[in-house]
Amino acid sequence: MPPHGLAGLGIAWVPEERRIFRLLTVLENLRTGLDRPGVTPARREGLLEKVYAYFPILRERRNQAGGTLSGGEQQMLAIARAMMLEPKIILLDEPTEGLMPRMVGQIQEIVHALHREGVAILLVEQNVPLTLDAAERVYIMEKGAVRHHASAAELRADQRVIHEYLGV
Amino acid sequence: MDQIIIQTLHGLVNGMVLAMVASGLTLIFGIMDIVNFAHGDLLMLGAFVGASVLGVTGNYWLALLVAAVVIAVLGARSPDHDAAALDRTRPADDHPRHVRRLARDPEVRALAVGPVGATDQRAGSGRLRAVPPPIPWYRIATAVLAGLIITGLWLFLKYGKYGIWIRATTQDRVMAQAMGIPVPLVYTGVFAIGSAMAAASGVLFGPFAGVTQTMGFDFTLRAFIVVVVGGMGNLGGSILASIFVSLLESYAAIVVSPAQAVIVSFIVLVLTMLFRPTGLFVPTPK
Repeated sequence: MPPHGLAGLGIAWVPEERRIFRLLTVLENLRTGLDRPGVTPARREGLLEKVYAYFPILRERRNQAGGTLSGGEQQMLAIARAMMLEPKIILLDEPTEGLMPRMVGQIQEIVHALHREGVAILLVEQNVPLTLDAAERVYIMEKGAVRHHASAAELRADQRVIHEYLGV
Repeated sequence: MDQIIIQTLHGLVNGMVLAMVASGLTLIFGIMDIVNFAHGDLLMLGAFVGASVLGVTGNYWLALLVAAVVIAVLGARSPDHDAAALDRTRPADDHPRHVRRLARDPEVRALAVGPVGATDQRAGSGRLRAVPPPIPWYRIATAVLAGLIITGLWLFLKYGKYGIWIRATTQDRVMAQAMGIPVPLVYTGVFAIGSAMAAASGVLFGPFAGVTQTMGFDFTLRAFIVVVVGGMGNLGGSILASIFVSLLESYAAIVVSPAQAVIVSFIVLVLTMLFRPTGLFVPTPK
């Protein structure tokens, strides 16, 4: 399996550093995930309309170079770009890192929205309240090893584990 | 006054010639970080293929097409751009380390001499004359054709599906793969396009540069200069730099002899490296 084959399996990646194609416009960034076999023009439009509905700012900026977007906008674009692949699972790496609180709320909403659509999300995050709110299962990792795992509901009900491992 | 107009035309024509050679070079460099020294040899082979086809059929367009296709296949199929091998040997930092040659140059040149026979048609070339000759119309026609081909390439890169694939891969190969872009195919395609551009340049400019085994070298040297001046891997920058440097050389030829005017491009190169090493015509750094 070549690396580019993974996208076809339904695995989409939103890297921590976002990795927007900086010299491509917002629309071209989205097109990198749309120009694949089996996407009809109608379906393309549908997918674009969907992410524009989630992130109206991307429609406004669609002809602007990706590198000119703010950090939060780039994060939205990275998520939107992953959604273009119509993935079964999205690997979401620290999506709220370095974002202002208002943006964090918006990212949280989008995680919920994706979840409602039935997309599995593997979220790596240091923001505990966000994670407990968004996740079903939680794995606490320390130095690369899983130290504890439980359902998010359990952890929400019993915060001792959180205190023990994360000291918060 | 007349002289300035003539020199401007000369500069523009030479600029288009150069831009066409440089665009293939910069495309390959931009996407793969390979300094493709084979480019000049592909140009030369393209000229020989074109001259042979022209000799047999008498059809210029057919010669152009056949040369481009044959050299595209040759360029794309040559084994040393194997993507996996590149990934293994590619250094972690962003600096190019790969220098690619088609083969040892003398062998390739011997290959070209074999079937066609070497005749240096450059004797008496206008280059060393003190007063530049008036511009023959076929040079202008050639420059226009080169301009059209470059415009075509630019439109393809700007709006085509594969153009977006190429540009995305140029900027972030790993992310491009994560988006499902078949990067090995993109590499092969870029080598084919770059090689076809080289071959087409060879056919276009053979009639006035002279079809010789060493013709590629002259072009490649100047093309490398403009590729560096324009910002390596930046297509628009290379094209602008080609025209800019050629115009400067043309105007310099009013004052000094054309042979000495060549120095201008090296002065531009040195100044660029000293004061703006990322290139003169790169987009604003982000």
